[in-house]
Amino acid sequence: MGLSRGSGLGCSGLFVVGAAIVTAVYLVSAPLLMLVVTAFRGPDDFLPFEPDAEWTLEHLRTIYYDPVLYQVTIPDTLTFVIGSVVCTFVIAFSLAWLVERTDLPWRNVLFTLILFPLLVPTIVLAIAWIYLFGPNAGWVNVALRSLLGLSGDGPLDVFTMPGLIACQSVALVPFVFLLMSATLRTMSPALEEASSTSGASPWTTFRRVTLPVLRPGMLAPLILTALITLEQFEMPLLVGLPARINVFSTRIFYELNPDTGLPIYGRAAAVALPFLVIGLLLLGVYNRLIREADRYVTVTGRGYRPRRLPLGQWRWPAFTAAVAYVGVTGILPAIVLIWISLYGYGMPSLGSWPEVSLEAYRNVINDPVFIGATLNTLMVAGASAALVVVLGAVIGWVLARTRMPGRAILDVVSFASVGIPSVIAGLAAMLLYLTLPVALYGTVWVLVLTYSYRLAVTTRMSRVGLMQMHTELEEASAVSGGRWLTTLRRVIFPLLAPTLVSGFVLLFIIGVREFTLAMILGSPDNLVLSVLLWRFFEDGSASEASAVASLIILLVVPVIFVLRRLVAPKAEYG
Amino acid sequence: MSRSTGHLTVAMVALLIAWPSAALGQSDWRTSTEVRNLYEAARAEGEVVIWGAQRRELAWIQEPFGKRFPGIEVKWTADRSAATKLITEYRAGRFAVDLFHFSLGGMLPVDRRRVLGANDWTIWGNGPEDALLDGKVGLTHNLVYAVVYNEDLVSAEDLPTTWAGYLEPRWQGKLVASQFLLPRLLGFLALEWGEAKAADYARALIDKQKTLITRAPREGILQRGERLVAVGEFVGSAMYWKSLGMPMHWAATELMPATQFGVATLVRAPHPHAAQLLAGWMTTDEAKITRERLMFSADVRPGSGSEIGALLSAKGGRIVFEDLGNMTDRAALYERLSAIVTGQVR
Repeated sequence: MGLSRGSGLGCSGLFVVGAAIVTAVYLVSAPLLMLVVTAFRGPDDFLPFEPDAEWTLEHLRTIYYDPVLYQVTIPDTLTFVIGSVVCTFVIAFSLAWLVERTDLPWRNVLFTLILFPLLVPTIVLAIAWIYLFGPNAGWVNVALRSLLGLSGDGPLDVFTMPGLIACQSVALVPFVFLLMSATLRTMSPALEEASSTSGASPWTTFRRVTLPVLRPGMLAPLILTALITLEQFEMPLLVGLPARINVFSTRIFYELNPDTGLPIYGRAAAVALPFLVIGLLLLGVYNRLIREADRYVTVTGRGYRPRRLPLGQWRWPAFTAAVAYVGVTGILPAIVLIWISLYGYGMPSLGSWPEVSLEAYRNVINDPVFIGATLNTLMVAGASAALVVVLGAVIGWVLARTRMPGRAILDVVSFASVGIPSVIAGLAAMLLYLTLPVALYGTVWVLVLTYSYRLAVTTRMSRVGLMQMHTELEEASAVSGGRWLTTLRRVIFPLLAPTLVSGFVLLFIIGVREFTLAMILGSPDNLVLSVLLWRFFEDGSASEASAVASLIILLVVPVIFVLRRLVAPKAEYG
Repeated sequence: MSRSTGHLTVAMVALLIAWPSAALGQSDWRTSTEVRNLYEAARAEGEVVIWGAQRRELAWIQEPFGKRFPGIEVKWTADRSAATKLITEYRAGRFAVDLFHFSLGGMLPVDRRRVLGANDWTIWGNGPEDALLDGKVGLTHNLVYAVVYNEDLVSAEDLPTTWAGYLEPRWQGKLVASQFLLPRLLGFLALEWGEAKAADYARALIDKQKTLITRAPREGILQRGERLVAVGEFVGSAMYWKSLGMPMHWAATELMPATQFGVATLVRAPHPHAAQLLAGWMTTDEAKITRERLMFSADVRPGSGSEIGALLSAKGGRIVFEDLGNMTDRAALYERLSAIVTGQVR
């Protein structure tokens, strides 16, 4: 069958699916086409669609004939990406497994604390790491030297490749943790229990049952993480630059922020093209590996009863390890952030306490644009996350459950969004909405639409979630007379709820801290908090910038708690 | 009192009243009919939209401008990519901005696309030397490069008075520099020293002195003592940070490059009279003195009467000004030297 394998979609179903496909293709293909076209438009000092711009291969020649690319950029990038992805995965999987599959104490609190680095704009996080691990005056280094009786600088140095990998991994762990925890939460333990009953050790069960079952759920985050690491530029710029580390993303940054004249978008797009190629290759690998989807079905109509694994004597050591991790990656940077907001850049000492004040918070709250920026932020992040989650769920369903003609193209289009750097997406949106005869440019709606190009995350997550569910549940609904929309509402969405909520939380957080798109498309009418934070930072008002960052966290944490509470009772394990 | 004595008294009083304004050379605009007419037309427009690079360059304007010319709201947007954004909006037929306030380097691509409008600066008491790019850009202030240091951790007497002095072994591991500003400074130095010597200097700073090249705020790195001296920061930044309570000071070197900033009205500005009024006012001594007092960035060109300018002269460093004559050469130089700073050429 074409669109639907099971029951008919009906007119309303067809309309919903059709609208979702058209919207998704529109949201992603505009920046995608822009990226490809821009790579072939020149000369350097012209915008891609200026009247005198012309087609050229000059950007590709400039970038790919440059020996620096092969001697410096590619080796540095490979080391950085492989190191970061491996570290991120080991840490994120361990934490997600402990939180979602075991009886680890204080799971909800740990869940939120693990997400902390995701809540903080990367630039603020990088500065916190420099504060803590700077070789001369980093708080941790000063404490270690004092404890160990060492002199000179160090012993830890954030400005090295291992330092950069560690910082980037910590920044990425929450993202992968959210994806992994969604997968682990919806996995039925029936196979693990059967393995244990057959006498297999926990390690054997983990290796021979848990890991293979989770393979599709792990591949998606792995591929996404590799691509997202490739795109990261703030951490390499702030922590990697002093170590003379040059990666692909910093090269894009330099092309977009040239020392003279206008940004060279063509060269930036030429550097970004391999992201798309790599993304498509990885997508091919992914699809090949998960072709036999039924092997991974763990949620069926019979006995879906998730249960937690008792850690026994390892419960408290595991808890200590998790607390140590969140202490270093969540609590210490939070302390730095709060300290700067209360005191400024000075080192904490007994003498500094009298000068601690809430003045920065007062300045921020009394700023005439603060309330508007807060409302705009919540509105844009919430609406774009909701739009992308719904679109991703429907597209994920089409990809996982139908044999619709052209769905391979839909798959590629939805996934390709991870290969588009935000700045290119921003430029594309700017050109598009300036040209369209609708009054969207300069409003919050242009931000909502532009933020929504990140479809890959929710499409992948929904598809993985659906692959773990047998179609018998939907078939049962259809046999009982349920229309497709009813099945979607009463069967698919409730079962996918943990995945969808994880996706919403992730995208909401990304939306709240999104800076590049908001800056490019910014106007006095759509100012958001991340842009306000950046303005304070550029202004030298570090306390105010840190106060805004703290307020962003205060804004996001309750959302995470509430959403997790909404989902937890339905997914809580016996 | 005799008639002649009376005349003398009247003349002296007139001189006393006129002298401070005459000394400033810009007394007329406050009473000028053209300015008054411009204000009336601008007030009817009600607002003016200005774009620039940084919040610090723009946020101060509303209050003093509003006092001088009440009834006109100043809406500003700070964005380092403002030039690109402006050009793109113009290409798409959207004309929402009245004024552009940037460095000379940022003005050039906008001017090449004929987006900058003509303006009469003379009614504000300005001469031909106060405008560039065929009179389209009125000059406002300069940002002057120097070294900035943590005065709690470094004594002023210990600081070298030459750029080369920072290559002495005692400064190894103690310097920080902005990835954005250092190449620009090196471009100026290359004009004076030659490119090869400037490149050697850049390599020595980075490889031998282990200077921390960063995009992070240098004031934080200095204040915490992670590094002690920032090479190639602005004098005004040191003063501004000090005003925020940080232990910062600046020191002169033998050569102190000065970047030129200006303001221009835009063709098809939606509020053309308010645009001309604000642009003109920003080039007056009243605005310059206010900017200097609040933001520590001043017009330090010879004869400007700026306190910061006088301070710089007193310190003995030779100030090299950016102008259209040296801009292109310097830009080419700092683009090449930037590759050394960022590690793309080793």
